[in-house]
Amino acid sequence: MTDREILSLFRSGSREQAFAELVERYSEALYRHVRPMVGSHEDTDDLLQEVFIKVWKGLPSFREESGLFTWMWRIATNEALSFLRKAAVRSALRFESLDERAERLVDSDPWFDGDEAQRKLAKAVAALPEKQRAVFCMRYFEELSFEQIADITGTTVGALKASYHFASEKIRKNVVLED
Amino acid sequence: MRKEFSYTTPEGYFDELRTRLGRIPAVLQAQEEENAQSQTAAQQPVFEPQPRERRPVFARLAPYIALAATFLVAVVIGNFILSRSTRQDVVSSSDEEIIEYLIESGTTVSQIEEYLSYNNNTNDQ
Repeated sequence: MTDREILSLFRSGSREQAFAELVERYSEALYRHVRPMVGSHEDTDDLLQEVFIKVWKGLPSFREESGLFTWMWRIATNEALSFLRKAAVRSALRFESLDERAERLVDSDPWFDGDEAQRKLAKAVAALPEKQRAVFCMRYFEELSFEQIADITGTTVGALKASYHFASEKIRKNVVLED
Repeated sequence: MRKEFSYTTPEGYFDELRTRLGRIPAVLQAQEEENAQSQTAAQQPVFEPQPRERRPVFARLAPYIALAATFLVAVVIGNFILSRSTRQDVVSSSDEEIIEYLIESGTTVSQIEEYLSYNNNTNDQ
C-alpha cells in the first residue's frame, strides 16, 4: 500500500486500519532513524511512542504539503532533538561533558554489538552537538540526500552540507569513515 | 569500517513494538471519553437549590425599617449631645489675655484702646 493509499484509507474512515499500516511500514525504519541520534534503546522506544501519538493526532489535519515520510521523519527528528537538548542540560548539571556522556552511553549500552571501530564511531557521533548529530546520522547511516534532509529539517541544502562537513571532520579525527 | 547498523534490540522487539503502537488510537480514544465524562460531571451543580417561599411585604421590608430606625435614633441622640455642649458658657477670658492676643494678631494700639473703652462701658451698664 502506498502512502497515498494509506491517506485515502484514513480519510475514508478506516482510521485505525490506516494507522496500523503506517506502524507496519515505518516503525522499524523510524527506530533506525532515532537510535543513532539518541543512543539508548529505552529512550528510543519512549520517543517512538511519542512520535506515533503525534502522528495519530496530526493525521486528520495533514495537508500533504510534504510526503508522509518527510512529515513523520520531521516529527521524529524534532522529538529526538528535544530529548537531546534536555539530556544535555542534565549532563551539564552533573558537570559531564558531551564526550564523557558519549563514552558513558556507548560503553553502558547492552544493545550495541559493533566492533571496536564502530564503537569509536558511535562515541564520536554521540559527542556531536545535537543538530550536527541529526544531520550526520541522516546522511551517513540512512543515506538520505541533502534535499531530503532539507525537507525534514527545514534547513537549506548549503547549510546542511556545511554542517555535515564539520561533523565529518570531527569524527575523522578518531575514526575512518566509509565514503 | 562497515557502515551498518550496530545497534541490536531484544528478541521480538519490533513485533511487540508494532502491537503496542497499534493500540494508540484505542488508548487515546478511551482517554478522551474519560475526560469528557469528567467535564460533564464537573459542570453539574453539587446540590439542587431549594425554591424560595414568597414572604409577606412587611416581612421583606422589616430589616430595612429596623436599619432606618436605628439611624434615626443615632441622629437624635447625637443632636442632643451636641446641643448641650454648645449651650455651655464660654470660659471667660481676662482682659490681659485678650490684649495679649490682640497684640499678637497685629491689632493696632488704637483698636485695642477702642475695644477696652467699649468693654468698660458695657461692664458699667
